[in-house]
Amino acid sequence: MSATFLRRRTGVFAKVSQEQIVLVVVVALFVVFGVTLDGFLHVSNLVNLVRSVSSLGIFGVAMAVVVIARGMDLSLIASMGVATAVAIQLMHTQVSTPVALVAGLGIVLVMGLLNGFLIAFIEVPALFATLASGLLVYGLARATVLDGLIAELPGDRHFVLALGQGTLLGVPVPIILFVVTAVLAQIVLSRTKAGRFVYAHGDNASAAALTGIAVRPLTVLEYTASAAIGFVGGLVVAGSVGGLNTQVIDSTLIYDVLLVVVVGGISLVGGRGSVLSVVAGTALIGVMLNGMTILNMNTHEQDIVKGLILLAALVLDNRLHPRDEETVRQGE
Amino acid sequence: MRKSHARKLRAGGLAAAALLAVTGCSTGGGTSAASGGGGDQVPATASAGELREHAVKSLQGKTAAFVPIGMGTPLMAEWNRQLQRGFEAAGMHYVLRDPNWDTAKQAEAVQSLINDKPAVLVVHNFDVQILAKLIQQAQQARIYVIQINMVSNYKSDAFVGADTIDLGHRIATDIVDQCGANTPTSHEVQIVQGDATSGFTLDVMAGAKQVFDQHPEIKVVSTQAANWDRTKAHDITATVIQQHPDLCASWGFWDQMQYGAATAIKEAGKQGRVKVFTSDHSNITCEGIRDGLFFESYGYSVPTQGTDIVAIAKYLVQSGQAPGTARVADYTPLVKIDKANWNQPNTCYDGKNDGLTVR
Amino acid sequence: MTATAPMRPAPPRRRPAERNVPEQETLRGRLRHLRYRASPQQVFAELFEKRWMEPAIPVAILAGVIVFFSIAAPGFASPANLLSTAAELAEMSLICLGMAVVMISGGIDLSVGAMFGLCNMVAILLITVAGVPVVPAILLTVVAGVALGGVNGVIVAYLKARPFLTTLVTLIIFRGVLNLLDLYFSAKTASVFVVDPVWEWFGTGKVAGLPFGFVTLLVVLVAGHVLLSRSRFGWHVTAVGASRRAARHAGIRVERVLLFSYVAAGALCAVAGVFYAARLSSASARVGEGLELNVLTAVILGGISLAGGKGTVWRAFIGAATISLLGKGLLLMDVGGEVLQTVLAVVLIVAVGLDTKWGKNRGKAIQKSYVNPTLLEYGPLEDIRPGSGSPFEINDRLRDAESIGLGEVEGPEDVIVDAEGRVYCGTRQGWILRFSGPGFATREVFARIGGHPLGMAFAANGDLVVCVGGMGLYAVSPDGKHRKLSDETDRTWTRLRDDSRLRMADDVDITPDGKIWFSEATTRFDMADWILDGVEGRPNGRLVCHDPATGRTRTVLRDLVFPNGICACHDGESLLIAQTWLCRILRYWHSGPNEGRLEIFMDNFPGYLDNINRASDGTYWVALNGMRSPAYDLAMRMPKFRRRMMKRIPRDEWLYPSMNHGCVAKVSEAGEVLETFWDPGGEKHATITSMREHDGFLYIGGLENNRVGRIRLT
Repeated sequence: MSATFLRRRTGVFAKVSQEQIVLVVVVALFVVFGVTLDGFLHVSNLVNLVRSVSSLGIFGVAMAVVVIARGMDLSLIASMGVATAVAIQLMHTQVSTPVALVAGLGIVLVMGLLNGFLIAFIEVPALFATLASGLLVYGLARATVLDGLIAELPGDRHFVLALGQGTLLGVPVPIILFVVTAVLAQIVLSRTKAGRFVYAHGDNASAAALTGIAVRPLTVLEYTASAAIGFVGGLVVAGSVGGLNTQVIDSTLIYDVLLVVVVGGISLVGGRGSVLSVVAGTALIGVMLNGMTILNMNTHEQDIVKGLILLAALVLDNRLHPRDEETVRQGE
Repeated sequence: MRKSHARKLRAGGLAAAALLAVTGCSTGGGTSAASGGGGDQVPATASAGELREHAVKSLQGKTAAFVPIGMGTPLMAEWNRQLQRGFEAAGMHYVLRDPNWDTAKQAEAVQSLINDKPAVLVVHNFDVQILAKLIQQAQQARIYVIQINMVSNYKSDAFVGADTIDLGHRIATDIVDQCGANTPTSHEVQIVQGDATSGFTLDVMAGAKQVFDQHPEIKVVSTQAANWDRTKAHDITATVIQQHPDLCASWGFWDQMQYGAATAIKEAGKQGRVKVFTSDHSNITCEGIRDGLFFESYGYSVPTQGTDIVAIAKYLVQSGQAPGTARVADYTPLVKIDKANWNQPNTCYDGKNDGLTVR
Repeated sequence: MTATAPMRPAPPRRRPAERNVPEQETLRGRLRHLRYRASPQQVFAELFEKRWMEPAIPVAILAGVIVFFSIAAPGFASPANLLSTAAELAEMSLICLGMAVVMISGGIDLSVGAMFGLCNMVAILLITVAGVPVVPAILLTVVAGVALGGVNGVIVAYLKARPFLTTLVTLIIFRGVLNLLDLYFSAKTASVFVVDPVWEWFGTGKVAGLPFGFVTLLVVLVAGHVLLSRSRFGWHVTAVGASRRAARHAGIRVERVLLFSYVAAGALCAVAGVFYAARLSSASARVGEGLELNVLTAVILGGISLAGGKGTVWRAFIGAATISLLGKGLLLMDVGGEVLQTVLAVVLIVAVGLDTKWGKNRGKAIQKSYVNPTLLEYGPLEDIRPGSGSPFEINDRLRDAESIGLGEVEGPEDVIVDAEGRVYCGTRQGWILRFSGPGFATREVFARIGGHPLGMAFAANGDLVVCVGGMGLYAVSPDGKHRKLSDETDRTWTRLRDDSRLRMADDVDITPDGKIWFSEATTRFDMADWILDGVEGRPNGRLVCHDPATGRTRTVLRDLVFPNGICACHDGESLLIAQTWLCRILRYWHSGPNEGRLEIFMDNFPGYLDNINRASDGTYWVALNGMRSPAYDLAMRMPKFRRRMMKRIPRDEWLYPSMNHGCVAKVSEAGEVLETFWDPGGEKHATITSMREHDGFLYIGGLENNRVGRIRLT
């Protein structure tokens, strides 16, 4: 259907993918900042740069799984935040660390199942389903389980602290976790049957269903996997700050995650992009944030700049992957 | 208006009793029939039984309401705990309306309470404007309004809280001690405010200005509002620490918020080199000082703020004077907390226990 | 010709049951009939077909919220609370209205909360910092709202970005700007008290005891209603939301309409921001934070579909009121903010789930529950095979029928011959054809009415009176001009469905007194779905009488099972009514000593009856358009089976009454079958719906046929 509306690009842009463009931009920014900003190219600054965006990168991988399948998970931060906070709260009791982590994992899995069920079986548009489920899990957790807004990680839970603050062979653990998550996700998405099905689902859901892929269970699987990856990111955040402020759920972090995914070239029409796109997007955001930081911009100005870039990415995404905007329905 | 606070009421150990005497003088004639308040004054010659009967009668069954800016932190939990304990012990109904950090909801909550007409309304102002008109309306509706810790542009019957101008003055003075001209530091100071329009922020800034104006060597490199949010404080500080690696001090106006800044400093590997100043004394302060995240903090006796409010409310209701005629401020003692005393009993509170000792 | 019917011993004046009553019916059998006659599904289907049902559910929820909190939350129902809520509700409703306009146009605007907060800030900054007088400041604030909405509109409409993500991002940007303004100007705004009567009045002023904001809201609601439902702009917005492609093809400038809808949202948020600013004077950066979710929930709850193209300003208001009062009630019950958030989330999930499920399946659900089978029993089925000796024994007397207009006519349901021997028949195209001349070779279109002409009869003045499916009763003068006689009759007030319109006028005859009697076969199904009435088997039809002298149309008999053929009897006092699914003929006396009596004339035909006409010899011709079969007779005895069939399998695989083989029968005044005419292979006349005797010939019509047949009667 949309093929008839697809405007073929000519020239360089026909061959260059969005993630390649982004990578070129990253390199260019890198060079510019390296030349103009003092201390940008310093090793410690670069390690700090990567470490500071590694949790964002992990969330990006989680979001990528559902976006490739033409979905979206706005509850990602909420489910990871609640799960992490509950796990931390359990760590204040006698419960052992693995049990607390399994409890947290259970929460994100339930959230993934709920999202998948709402989207696949009730056919609620993903945006609204996840928006509402995010509000629901946070509200419910605050009303029943959570003690306060801030869950403080006890100092003796070394495993979780190490996830955020430790180093392995001189490399900070968050960076290692990001790399491992990205590589695993890429292998699963590109080398396994389930991964190829995810692409098929995102490319054309009805065609996938007609070829015999069980699209509805697959949807549930995608959201569950996404939520589980998000939980890893949550532990990294909790480990590095020594606790989790659940108000992060109300913050603009989720938009940053979307930014990373969309900027990197994982189109919201689904079926396009790869984990490499997340890496490219994360690199761009990391360099930009670091640069803006050194350029002495405050968070609000950074928000505005980020918003403008995301806006440009949306328009660009639409130019590169046009959709049939006459037949497109709500929630896209 | 705020100038009036400038008078340094070093009200360290001043109890509510002294305060009541002052107000008693200033509003001596205020014995008009106040239906919203208590009954008539008891004559001086009355027996102990009559006084008791008057006290019990004027409080019994009355309602006291508390509208914080949002629950979920030890500060609000401690206030709530103390208020509930005090009011209920006096035979009053106690109502908590939680606007959940939403300004519009807070206005709605106060508005709804004006309709409900409790005897006493305790409000925690988001900013100096938001409740100004509503406080006026509440007093017209014969409700005693007590503001806690953060003032409004409209002054009500009583204010209970830290002398925030003095607080700003003291912390600024301590910062000058640590980062001033006589120190081998960069003299660079970061300030993390709460809501920029909050009375607390404005007053602390006023106090700080008095000090910093006399110490031009202090460079305030960043003054940003983190809106009482730990994550925002973390992000802002992470930015500032990149810009100013030689930062001498980071001063945040609330411990819960400033903890985020402290972690950002720790992440940047500057723990100990950047001195973190804050105020309030929830358990996180004592723990932060223990762990070296915080350098020092000023507590403002949160548990006794709660009991002071109850005492003033009881006085107002029993006095029978019309709401809006009193104008008192009860500044609670400021206590400096640092390496020396963080592990003392009662230094910090957690909103759950009395006599907390952080170990 | 006078009636020679034998006098029966005082037949009961009670109307015969509208079903085939088996001999020796037990009480249990009668109860079974009663049970299947009741049909809650039908009430449900008819209820949900009503347009007013859509807002009815949100209104019911709103009423439920009000009642619940009036009881559960102390002080909720007090005038003071309602008044102060009205002011807060006004702001919320204005924002919801903006969101609603965008959603009706098929988009969404998540930046409403940020625009609201920003406009609040702008208003206060203009007045306190810039020192602009109040009135220009208010106008400038609205201009700012228009500009903000314009940004959204341009990006969505002209750059064609997705509305959800675009407005999500503009939300971040607007809020960033708001935070920056807060950062730079908050200290200045905080210390200024605005004292201005206009400003004061915006904040706390009252008109007729209601807050000024609420009065403004009412004005905006009325204006918005007129604009949305009565103006060109409103229609364009709805059209674009319903189908962008169709709107573009209709010449609507889709981009401009989209832009305007976002601008409207911005302006409404600005107005709300002004009221908020005047009421609370708080230039906090937090104003409007997270509001978009409440607004979205409210609007969806009000019943404005996510799919676009649907919704009214009232529904937006109902949704806003529900959410506002819900929040207020929970606040009064002193539950924490997180409970409100949880409740909102659940409401949002349920509302969106219902919206998508209901929007997608509403038609299907109505259709599935619309056809609502009942129990129908038949007497023993006669053997009509050749050699069976039955009066209906199959013969081949129609095999040699000559054809009139072969291939030139489609679906001549009824045929009639005028005094000059010209043959008239209706066609599927909505024409009445006339064949004349030698061998009826001359074909002309006598009249073009528009609907499929069914039963026909000549009036005394030479007018051809025609029942037109879907249109009503028409008369065609001899020169081919047609005029409407009637298209409505009395409404049955006990029914939910408005049945005053004639839906399927079927056959007509005219009594000597000039009154036109006609049947409406079914009031529940359209012409195209008439066969579904057979699957259902309910008494949905009626006998209607139109009196040309007075021009009045009235329903004479209601609740008849598919009355198809109508024929004025030779006695001039009664009518015969052929009922298709009951396979019986009723006799109804419209005048004379037996006036009002209704009795069974003949029953248990082996096939389904269609038209009935007088024969020249005092008898009657009856057309059977299809024959009963044991299988379908059984199916009619099993309503549950038919319901299951309709639920489980596609419509074209359902079991229908057999309609592909029929005959013409001649019956006597005494109710005996005299002779039959068959075309066994169904080559020329398979389904026979009508026949007309004229001058020694019988003319035969069929609803699905491609000719009019003619045989010589011997």
